[in-house]
Amino acid sequence: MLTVKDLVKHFPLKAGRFSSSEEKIHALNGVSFTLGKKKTLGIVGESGCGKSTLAKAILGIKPPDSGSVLLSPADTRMQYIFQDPYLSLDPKMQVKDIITEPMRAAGMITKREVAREAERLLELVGLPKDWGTKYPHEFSGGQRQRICIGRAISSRPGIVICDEPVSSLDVSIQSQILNLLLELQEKLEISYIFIAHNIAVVLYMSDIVSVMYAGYIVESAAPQELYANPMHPYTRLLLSVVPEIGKNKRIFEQKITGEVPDLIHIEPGCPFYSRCPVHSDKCRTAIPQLKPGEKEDHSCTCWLYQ
Amino acid sequence: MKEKILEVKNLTTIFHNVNQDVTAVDNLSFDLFSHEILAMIGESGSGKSVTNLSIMQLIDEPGEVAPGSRILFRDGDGYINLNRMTEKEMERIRGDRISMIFQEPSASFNPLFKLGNQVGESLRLHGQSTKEEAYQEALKLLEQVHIPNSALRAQDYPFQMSGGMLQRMMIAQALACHPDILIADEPTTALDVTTQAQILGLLKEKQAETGMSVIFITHDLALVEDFSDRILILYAGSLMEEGPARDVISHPMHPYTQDLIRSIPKPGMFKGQDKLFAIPGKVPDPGEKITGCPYAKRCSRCTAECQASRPDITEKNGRKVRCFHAYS
Ligand SMILES: Nc1ncnc2c1ncn2[C@@H]1O[C@H](COP(=O)(O)OP(=O)(O)OP(=O)(O)O)[C@@H](O)[C@H]1O
Ligand SMILES: Nc1ncnc2c1ncn2[C@@H]1O[C@H](COP(=O)(O)OP(=O)(O)OP(=O)(O)O)[C@@H](O)[C@H]1O
Ligand code: SF4
Ligand code: SF4
Ligand SMILES: [Mg+2]
Ligand SMILES: [Mg+2]
Repeated sequence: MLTVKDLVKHFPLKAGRFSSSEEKIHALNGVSFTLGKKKTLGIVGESGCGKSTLAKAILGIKPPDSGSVLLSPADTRMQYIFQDPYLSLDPKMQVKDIITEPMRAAGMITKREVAREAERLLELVGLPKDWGTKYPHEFSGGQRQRICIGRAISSRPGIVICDEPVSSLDVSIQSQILNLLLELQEKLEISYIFIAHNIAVVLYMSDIVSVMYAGYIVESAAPQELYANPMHPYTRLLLSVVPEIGKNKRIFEQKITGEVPDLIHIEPGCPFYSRCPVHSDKCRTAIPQLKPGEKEDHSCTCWLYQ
Repeated sequence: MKEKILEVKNLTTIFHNVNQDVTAVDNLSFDLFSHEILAMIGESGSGKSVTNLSIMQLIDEPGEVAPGSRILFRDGDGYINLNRMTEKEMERIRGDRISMIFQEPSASFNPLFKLGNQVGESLRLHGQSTKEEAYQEALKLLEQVHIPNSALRAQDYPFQMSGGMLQRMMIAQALACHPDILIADEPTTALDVTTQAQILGLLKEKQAETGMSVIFITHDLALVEDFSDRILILYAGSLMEEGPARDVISHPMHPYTQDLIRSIPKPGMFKGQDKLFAIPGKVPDPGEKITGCPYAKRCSRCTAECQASRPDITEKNGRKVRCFHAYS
């Protein structure tokens, strides 16, 4: 089990022509959640809302300014899969060494066991088991992402953080990888944090979905509930512009006002205020708290519901 | 009767690489009508970009547009073959009459210059106006593509803009000379859904306003069902299916089109409840020798005939399909 509490991460802006040194980017503004065993927390939100910053803060790659990340003893091993399967594999290493790297780092296997373990892992992620002596450039994008997944699960982590794991892949390969992740979750009892801006993909993969906006979680619910009864005006906007086959949604006719939020000059009140079609004066004065809705496990930060 | 603005006939583009030849576009024919949005769909490597770069005559060594390929572009009362134009003649057509917006907006702006000047400069390249007039015209364009505070933002450098804003500036630049054809190569792939909806709205608005034709390249079928008039489906450099957008998506005839539609995750699919369909295998490698149907290795309807010979295109009721066992 993973418990994340009040994570805050601000990046200082470099002093220069455009800013004083005091200013900072408010990337993460107090994010909390818990993630249970064998569960998936999906995170959606537009570009720049802080999804990757959250992933990196949890992993300790970019430690948070404040807040805590608590892991149950069984889950101390966390791994990650990032977006670009081309950048995340060392081109000079053989695949068998890449895929077993976390196991060796954790002292789980000796050098002699590498070849055997690599065969097992390659098979697990659906690649021919005798491909261990190949190099990354000999693989397609989808195959590389399979290697990244094999590497991530090799050390038997309790939690794997997937940051846009399929967004650089073709639709036909995307489904293969998503189904592989689900299959491995069943087999190995892994929990995932699954980040993507494709909402359909996140709904499909998750047990609970959190919607992020400007460094806040603004709504959380089970995917069925979020899809059927979105509460937050931002979630409703998001769902209204997701392309859907056969629905004649004419998303190009949706009126979308306002620009993406300014993370440097923070105004008091609700971060969605400038784009919200149903705001009131109150929204400008104070930030709404995360409040449970009528349904169990459905919560939202919006003055409409407080 | 709609007027044909572009007629591509037997377009073949080959890259003569050191170790092998790669046929990126294989004998492709299609028409583009006035006032039309034509969607070009296909997976990575299917030849979408190369097709359009061939139309623009922007294929460089070791690539070659086969001499027999005809790219007939409406000019006055007749047609000119762009594949026979000199580079000088093409320079007048590119930007002026056929414009292209690229997938990566940062690639089309120079990071060192202010955006207003860059848009203005591109106007000057194709018109006679003075520097000042061009700048004022550029400001007007930025306003038209809904850049707030355009006079101020024109003073900004590319890195100060969001991805969506840059994409809109690129559209402004591409529209500056009122082209007959706008080619948009995956203009929204890198953007989130709200920005994507804004960009689509903008393209639709400008298209209605100017009556230009649009070739819209994407790999997202769901996006173009109600946005485009017609759809072309490409696979491994070949046309697989063509028809009115709604018909192709509601009644796909080609097994590949049907598989593609089935493998798109749809909102309302949930784990444990639905299983996402996945097409087995992967697209052919570039340069791979294929004797039969290019989709044979992955197709659930494949027969011995499909492996032995390549199906031709059959045409019926405004639909085209390349398959021995097409759905009716
Ligand atoms: N190392 C860094 N230094 C300074 N600013 C950063 C850094 N990393 C992220 N930021 C800023 O923090 C904000 C959140 O970025 P983040 O990468 O978390 O967004 P994201 O939700 O992952 O977006 P995307 O969907 O585009 O990947 C952005 O404004 C970004 O510019
Ligand atoms: N400059 C080049 N040299 C050699 N081969 C090339 C070159 N450009 C493209 N190709 C090949 O031509 C084929 C078609 O590529 P193209 O860029 O048209 O694909 P695409 O459909 O646009 O894919 P994507 O969705 O990834 O943009 C590919 O197999 C590619 O490897
Ligand atoms: S708090 Fe107010 S501005 Fe914010 S989302 Fe709710 S209604 Fe809109
Ligand atoms: S020709 Fe045969 S292999 Fe090709 S798509 Fe049709 S049924 Fe499938
Ligand atoms: Mg990110
Ligand atoms: Mg391309």
